Amino acid sequence: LFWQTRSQDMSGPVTEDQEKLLDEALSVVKLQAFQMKRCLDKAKLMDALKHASNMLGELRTSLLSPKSYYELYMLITDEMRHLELYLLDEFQKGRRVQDLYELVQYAGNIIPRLYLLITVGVVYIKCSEISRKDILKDLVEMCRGVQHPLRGLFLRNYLLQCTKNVLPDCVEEEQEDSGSVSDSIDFVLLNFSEMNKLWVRMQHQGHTRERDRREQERRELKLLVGTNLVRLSQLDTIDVQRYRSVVLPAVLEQVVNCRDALSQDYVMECIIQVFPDEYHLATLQDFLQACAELNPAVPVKNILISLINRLSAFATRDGSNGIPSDIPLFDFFSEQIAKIIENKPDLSPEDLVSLQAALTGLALGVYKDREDYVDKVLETTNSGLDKLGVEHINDHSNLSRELMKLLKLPIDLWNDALVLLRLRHYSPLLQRLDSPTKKSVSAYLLQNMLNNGTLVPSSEQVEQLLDLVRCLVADPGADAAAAAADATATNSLGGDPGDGSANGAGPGSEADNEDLAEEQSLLGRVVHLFSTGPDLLDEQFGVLKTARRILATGGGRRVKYTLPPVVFHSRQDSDDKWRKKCRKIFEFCHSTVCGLAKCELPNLALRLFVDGALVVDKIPFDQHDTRMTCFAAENHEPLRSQTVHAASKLLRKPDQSRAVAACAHLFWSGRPRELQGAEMRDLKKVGECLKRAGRLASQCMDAGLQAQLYTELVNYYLYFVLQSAGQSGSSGAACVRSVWSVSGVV
Amino acid sequence: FFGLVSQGAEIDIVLDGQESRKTAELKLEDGRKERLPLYYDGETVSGKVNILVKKSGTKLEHQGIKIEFVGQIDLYFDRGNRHEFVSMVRELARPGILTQGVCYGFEFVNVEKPYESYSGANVRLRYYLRVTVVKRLSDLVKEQDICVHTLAQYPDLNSSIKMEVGIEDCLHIEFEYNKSKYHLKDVIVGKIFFLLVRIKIRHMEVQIIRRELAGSGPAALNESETLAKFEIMDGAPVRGESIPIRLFLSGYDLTPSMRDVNKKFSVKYYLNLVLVDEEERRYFKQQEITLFRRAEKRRRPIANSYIEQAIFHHRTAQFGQQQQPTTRAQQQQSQATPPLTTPEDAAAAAISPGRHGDANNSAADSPELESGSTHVSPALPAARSAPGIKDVLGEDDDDNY
Repeated sequence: LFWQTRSQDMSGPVTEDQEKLLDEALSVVKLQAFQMKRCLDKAKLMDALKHASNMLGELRTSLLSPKSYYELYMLITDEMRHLELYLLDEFQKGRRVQDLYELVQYAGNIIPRLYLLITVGVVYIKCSEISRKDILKDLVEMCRGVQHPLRGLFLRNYLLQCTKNVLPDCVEEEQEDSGSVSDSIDFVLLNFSEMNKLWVRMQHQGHTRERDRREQERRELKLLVGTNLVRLSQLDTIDVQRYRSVVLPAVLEQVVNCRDALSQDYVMECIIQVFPDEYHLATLQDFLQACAELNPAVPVKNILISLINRLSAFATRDGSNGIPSDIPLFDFFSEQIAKIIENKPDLSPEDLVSLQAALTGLALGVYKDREDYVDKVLETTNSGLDKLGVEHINDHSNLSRELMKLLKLPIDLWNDALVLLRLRHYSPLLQRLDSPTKKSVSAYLLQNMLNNGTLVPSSEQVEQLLDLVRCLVADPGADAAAAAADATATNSLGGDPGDGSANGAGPGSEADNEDLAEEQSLLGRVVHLFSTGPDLLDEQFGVLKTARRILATGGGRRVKYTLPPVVFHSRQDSDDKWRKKCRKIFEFCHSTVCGLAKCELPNLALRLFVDGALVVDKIPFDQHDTRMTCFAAENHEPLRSQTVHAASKLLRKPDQSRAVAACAHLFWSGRPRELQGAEMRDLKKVGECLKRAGRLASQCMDAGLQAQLYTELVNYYLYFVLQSAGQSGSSGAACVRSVWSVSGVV
Repeated sequence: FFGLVSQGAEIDIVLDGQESRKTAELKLEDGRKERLPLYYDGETVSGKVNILVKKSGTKLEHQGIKIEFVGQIDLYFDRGNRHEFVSMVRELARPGILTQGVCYGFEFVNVEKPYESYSGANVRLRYYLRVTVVKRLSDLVKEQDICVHTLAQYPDLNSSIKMEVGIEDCLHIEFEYNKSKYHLKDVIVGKIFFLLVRIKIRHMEVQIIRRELAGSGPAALNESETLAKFEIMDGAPVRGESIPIRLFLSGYDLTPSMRDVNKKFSVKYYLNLVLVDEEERRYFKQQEITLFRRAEKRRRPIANSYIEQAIFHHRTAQFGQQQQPTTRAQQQQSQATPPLTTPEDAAAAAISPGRHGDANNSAADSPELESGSTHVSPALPAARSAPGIKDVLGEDDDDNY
């Protein structure tokens, strides 16, 4: 049952001694048991009893550790079953041995005497229930004679074990003589309180230096005490009424009065586990009251958490009727927890938080629609932490872990981030965490949104959400700068969002970068959830504006991930119904992309521009005007030059060279409005581009690569020469010259 | 050769109804036990005396044949001195000659048997029949012992024994036995209530001690014998603990208490409550109880009667438990309550301290004090080895062990 493995804490010689002592005792037991059985076979009961008594005498030892004593006890009680069966058999055949109950009490030593008395008493009960009540009472009273903790615990365990199936389990009216359930209750309760006292007393024996070992030994014995409660829970006739008026008060009184932390911790937990949830509901106030009176060393929070979890599970279980409406479960717990916090000035912050987490679990489990409950808990937690003077929560501290658990609970249970946004105290609590944990919670929230497809339909909510997860949006150090950026960004739609943020990004380690990349991708994906839905497209733009404004504060390393989705998302909205605003949208996109470009992300900016162009292209032809408007000369020009600029900032020279060469096309085939749809064919710019590409190619170190670049360039030149041939001779000649010069170089 | 022949007669005493008469076991002088026919006070003792001449044809000449009924006290240390407290004679035959076996009837009608048969360490009280064939040289004598039990009525007044005892600031207990007078098949039911425990007790037992006082005056011999050792508690109790006692007397070889029997001896019984601590020190308190023999009653046929009886007693013992342990202890500490014992009791309660060897009276030094009732004890020094206390207790020690 409990010592499956030999405990390791015993040092070698002690273990050897124990083994030797145990072996000696076991061999005596085996011998005596053998002789007892032989006497029984010959129907010599008195001799058998004598051997039984000798065998039981081995249990008088003080030398064995609890574990060894347990082994001895098991063997002996096993042998005692032979005696019990023999007596039962004889009694049932009508051969009742006169005065047996008295005879066994002649034994001079108390341990054998009481074991025999229990055995015989139970046989009497099994044969006739007439004096069951009296015998039970007598047995449990007589056991008081054993005050030695270990021996007493095992003796009473034997009593409990033997009487397992004979306890009266009926209401008073039915059986007057053989006892009723209230006799059983008295019996078990008395046994329980005596065992608990013995168990507690164990702690105070021997040297203080062996305290830890004793505590360990006590833990090993706790099941013996708990069996009493199990037995009570097995009595069918104990209804809620009886439980509330008799059973629980007695158990609690014993527990509270014993003042022993280990016992209180275990027994309270045991109560929660063995009795039905309905009973707990009916007696909540009493139970919680008792919790408040426990030894300060008892981790009350574990008890409460365990209870709350059970009740939460009960309320949500299929087929249960839920929590009766007349029991203000939440109020009970929250009052009680408040009381505990008040009474225990030394309560650790993590305990406080885990208590509140359990309470949150209850609020969420039982009262799913009561957001105010959760908010109340969060508020209490927050103020509780304030009172405890918790300012900084270190990562990897228990407190941090507990708080994280607490914060994740509502996310998990509601699966609706919008509800979360309505809680006034969620964010302050979240902001207490240290950065990595905070980020992890935020990321968890975002992930949850993604999994559930939670749409964020209004700009206020976007603002709230991004504020909530602001640790992902911007560096904590950049808060001030971000605020400033906020201010400027709100001024005008076209304001440059990159202003305050470009400098926020510092180079981080690679791991940091990976984390960052992950977080920001998440954030980016969430941007797609900023959607008002098809009916409210008007607001959609506002939503995205807000999102951009806030996201833009994140600095270069972030915007790289976060703004593109904004762009893409906004483009998806380019809907038929919305043409008047298309221009605005494209302007919006443009400025966003420009912001990106300024953040030294030319590659990305380039891709976005190109993508933007694609989108423009896809918009049906009748929108052409709008498109042109979007990319009017004043827009187009910078776009082109930006592209070139961006191209020349590519990392590798060959890439730069190729990109810049490719940009030449922009100046050739572009169709600005002023030319009425004709290609602009700006030879000068084209030439510049190609020259620049040539220059870049010349800086290339690898000769082979360089040759390839030049070849490609020649190809470009040839293309433009051929294109321009039919247009203007002079420029054509210039081109040809250029081609030659390049070829010369090659 | 006459003499030889004359010895050749066998005397046999056959008591009336001997087969159906109850017997009782009695210890002989040499320690063996013998079953003897059992008689009560006032009961007629009658029977027949058979005298068999061993060889038919021989003659047995005698000066008369008589039978005596004797009640007698023997003090072992004073062999020559026998005290016959009853002596009755019946003449069976006048002087004559026996040539064949004869049979004489005899009867002692309603004979008074005031004391109970007893066989102790230094004294014996016996009843016997003696047939004497008086002869010129040496008489032919045959003795037959009988056993006598004296029956007593259930006493009208049988109060419980209740007392608070202890050692100042060390151990305060209150013990209670349900009666002060028990019949020999009775059950002693009681409880020990611990008011204060500052020593580590290992176990506690109740002993039944028989104290025999033989002779009188300075020559009197005092002998104590522990007849029963009954462990009632294992381990160390704490304050407020109440330990039940239930001791069945029928398991032990006891006699009624005897007070000043024929001015020759007394037999007293004591319950000795012994607490042993972890250093093998013993703390004890003796209380005299009176034992008496009750007429045998037929047991009720109900199988569980004895359980009921036992439990009844048990409940009696619990009556004091209603009081809260804590309040009890507080009262104790405040010394506010008046002593539970009478002054005489308190004096008697000056408890015996002592370290004793095990069963065999190997009295070692007795450093331990058991103070009297805690209410009178403050005057006594609390120190364990206080010499004054040793003196006070020394005599108890010798007496007990």
